[in-house]
Amino acid sequence: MDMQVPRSNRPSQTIQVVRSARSRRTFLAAGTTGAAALLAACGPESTAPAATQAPSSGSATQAPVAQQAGQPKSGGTLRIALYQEPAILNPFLNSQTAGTEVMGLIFLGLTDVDPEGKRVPVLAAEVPTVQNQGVSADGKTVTYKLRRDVKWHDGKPFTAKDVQFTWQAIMDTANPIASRTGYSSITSVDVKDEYTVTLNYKEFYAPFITLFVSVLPAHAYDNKTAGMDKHEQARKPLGTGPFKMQEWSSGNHVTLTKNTDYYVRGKPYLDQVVFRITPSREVGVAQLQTAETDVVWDLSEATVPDIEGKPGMAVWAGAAPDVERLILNFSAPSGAQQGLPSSKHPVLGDPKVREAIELAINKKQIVDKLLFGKTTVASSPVPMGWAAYKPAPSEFSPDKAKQLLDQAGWRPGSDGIRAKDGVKMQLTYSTTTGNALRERTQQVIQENLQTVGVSLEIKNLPSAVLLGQWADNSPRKRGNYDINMWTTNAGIDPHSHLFSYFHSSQIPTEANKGDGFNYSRLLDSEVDKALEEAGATPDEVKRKAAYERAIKGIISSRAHIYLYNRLDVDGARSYVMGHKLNPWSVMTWDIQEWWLNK
Amino acid sequence: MGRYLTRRTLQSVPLLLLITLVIYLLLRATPGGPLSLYEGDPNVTPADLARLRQQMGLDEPPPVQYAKWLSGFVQGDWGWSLVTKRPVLQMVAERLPNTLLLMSLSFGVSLLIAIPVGIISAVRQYSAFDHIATTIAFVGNSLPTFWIGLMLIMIFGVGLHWLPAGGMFTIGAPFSVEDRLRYLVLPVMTLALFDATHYARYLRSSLLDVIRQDYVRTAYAKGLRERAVIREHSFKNAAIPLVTVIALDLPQLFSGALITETIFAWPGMGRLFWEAAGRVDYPVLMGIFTVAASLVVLFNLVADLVYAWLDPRIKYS
Repeated sequence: MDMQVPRSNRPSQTIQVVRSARSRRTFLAAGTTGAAALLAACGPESTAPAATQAPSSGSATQAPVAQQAGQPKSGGTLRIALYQEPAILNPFLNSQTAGTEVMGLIFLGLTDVDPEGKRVPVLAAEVPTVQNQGVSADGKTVTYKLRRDVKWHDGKPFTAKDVQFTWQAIMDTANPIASRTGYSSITSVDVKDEYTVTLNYKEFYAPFITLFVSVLPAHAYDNKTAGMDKHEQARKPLGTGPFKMQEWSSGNHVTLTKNTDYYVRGKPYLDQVVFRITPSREVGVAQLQTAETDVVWDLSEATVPDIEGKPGMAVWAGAAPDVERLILNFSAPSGAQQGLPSSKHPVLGDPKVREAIELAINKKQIVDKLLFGKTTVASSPVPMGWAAYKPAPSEFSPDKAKQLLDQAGWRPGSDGIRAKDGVKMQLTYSTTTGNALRERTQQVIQENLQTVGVSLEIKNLPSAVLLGQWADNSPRKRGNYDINMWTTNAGIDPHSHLFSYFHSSQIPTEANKGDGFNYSRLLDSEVDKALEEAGATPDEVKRKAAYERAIKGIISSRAHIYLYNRLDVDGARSYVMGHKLNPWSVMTWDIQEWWLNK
Repeated sequence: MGRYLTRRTLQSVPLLLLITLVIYLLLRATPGGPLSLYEGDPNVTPADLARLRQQMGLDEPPPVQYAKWLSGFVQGDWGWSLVTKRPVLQMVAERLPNTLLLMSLSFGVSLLIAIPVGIISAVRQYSAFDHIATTIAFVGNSLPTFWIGLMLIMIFGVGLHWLPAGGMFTIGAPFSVEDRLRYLVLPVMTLALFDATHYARYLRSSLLDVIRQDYVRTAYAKGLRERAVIREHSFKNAAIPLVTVIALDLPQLFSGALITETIFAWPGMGRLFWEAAGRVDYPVLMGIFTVAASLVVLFNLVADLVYAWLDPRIKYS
């Protein structure tokens, strides 16, 4: 029995994010850890393994369009099953995906991202840019003009003071806020007038527009920033969103009611939204089948056949920015030089070998056979959004792979495994334990590489170990691995992802106590330069061009070999109308548009 | 008797201390920790992690952390959850009544089934009833509760739509006993079926031993009716092993049934524990473990006292 615990959140760009940067798919539950191992005898409550929840039902991308039929009706209660209980309803203290779904109804941010990846204003009257003078030429001064018609749920007006308070609260060290990245680059927040606020940055922060995706009510905290974690607002928050908090019964449900003062007139349509806390996705699906719930959030692909094509039920599925990938180690995997960027992996250190490995992998077969053709072959770390760069997928050609390996001097031995200067092409291949889809993927890749003379030894590790920290002796941090496999995503602004995974300054070492995610130990001055350039200008056109250069270099280095793009999947009763999928936000991002056709 | 009680109580103090220490060490020895969920987020810097560790008190040496936890605990301060930022005691207090309701009902139902079935099976050994009962008991005992639970949901919830698939009451509906009972039926059946088969098997085998004793034959010989023989002379003696088993199960009234609560979305202690384990929420785990361990110790003592009542030959001094 596998021991998966409720997923925490997706690694990049999730924390503190309510309405943007999709946070649903963790990559393998970085937070699922050890103590769970104590429970080794437990039952089926194990939530479906994070990666079995890969893609499903690509066809269903069209489903929401079909749902738009008819005039929206007002009224009714919508029940949404969450397999995770929100821990805390403060957007900056929350570290959980279920929490972001609930807060998506309560809190609004200055801006949000639409399904096409375009930045749209919410509490801001317009999205600040250099063109509309909202952003200074050097990008260090950002001015937001705010909407004048927004009220907090208690009727008090929303003003620039609230934005200033939000920043002050985030920066108050008395609050246990995990990430202050970006906010800590701000030196002051000036309230110009009641509805104009200026952010002064000490240095340019490229993803500046992703900040303030929620705003807190200053008056509800009496303007006191400290102690937010134990404040009653953490459980009964006040927001500006389409629904107000009504009741939270632990382990059972969270009920929200319509905000009749919502700034978009005539919306929301629903009177009430109830989040039912279910212990697993499977329980949620059972409740969907019995019509005890209307929507099941974040399904695994294994459960899709239970819903797809069943009368009265619909699958909501669409492409997600997450990419399942192999991570290759360029440095020495053992010995005194282990993990040092200056060292060279005896097999993977040669770019020709890495190219041959990618050529030998039949990605199409993995998508068609293991994922039932529901998703697409991946080719890039940034497959969608404004900064997307998506070249054609790599070729599948075992013959070319063999030629390349021959050229590089690797000759097959009597057992079929290639060797060079006494080094055999034997590599370890690790992913998280207890994940059926990942294990089957490993078998396909193992066979693929066997045919070209590369032997893979599968050695899987619990996620707490595989994805652990420097202090836990995590192999990826310490550099003692050959090939790893997991999922992550670049988010709507790819900067922090690309920089931390591929810039040479981000290689985990003893000196930096394992900071950074450049686990491949990629050292490429061109990639470095392109990333630095992209991070230094507020001009989106220039940034996109620079990211494209960086991504090209990253792809050809094969630091990561991208296998397949993943999908976001939810299940619903077919009378739930009005929802549009948004890969950049939470499922409930457009809850004000939902209605019940029954 | 009084001296015996005092001695046993005093003995349990070092035992419980040892238990909490072992639990503490085991929790800390597991890889990962409450901060590991931030691992992989490029926006959480090592400086941020260091700050959080300090705010959560995780930067102090482990002996200091343990001592602080212990001194708080004995004074009734169970600490604050690292995840929900709420007092552990409050979180437990919310869940405990739900678990008590579910567990005591299941417990009662299982005894109501197990005692008559165990007695009839033993008295009418090898009868048709006995064969059927022992077969069911064997099967019931072998089936994992999660399987029984899922089957019940499939049949009565998803298939027949007779009963809700999970939860504790209809959300939004006014309180009604009938509604509560509808939600209780399936989880109680799941738990009671398993426990009843378990207890019935114990009772049957120990009663079989007892009714072959000479004093039982004597009772029959002096013309007592069977009912009286069983009630007055056999059952109490046969119940001793059962009491041990039951006493060791009683702490579950507090700790709940992890698997059943999880399958049926029952907001009880078992699920609280499961969620805390998933989130590596040390204070919550320590609180639940410690109380559960204390109850095991306590009910062991209770079992020993009940022996003395059941069998006057057992004397404590």
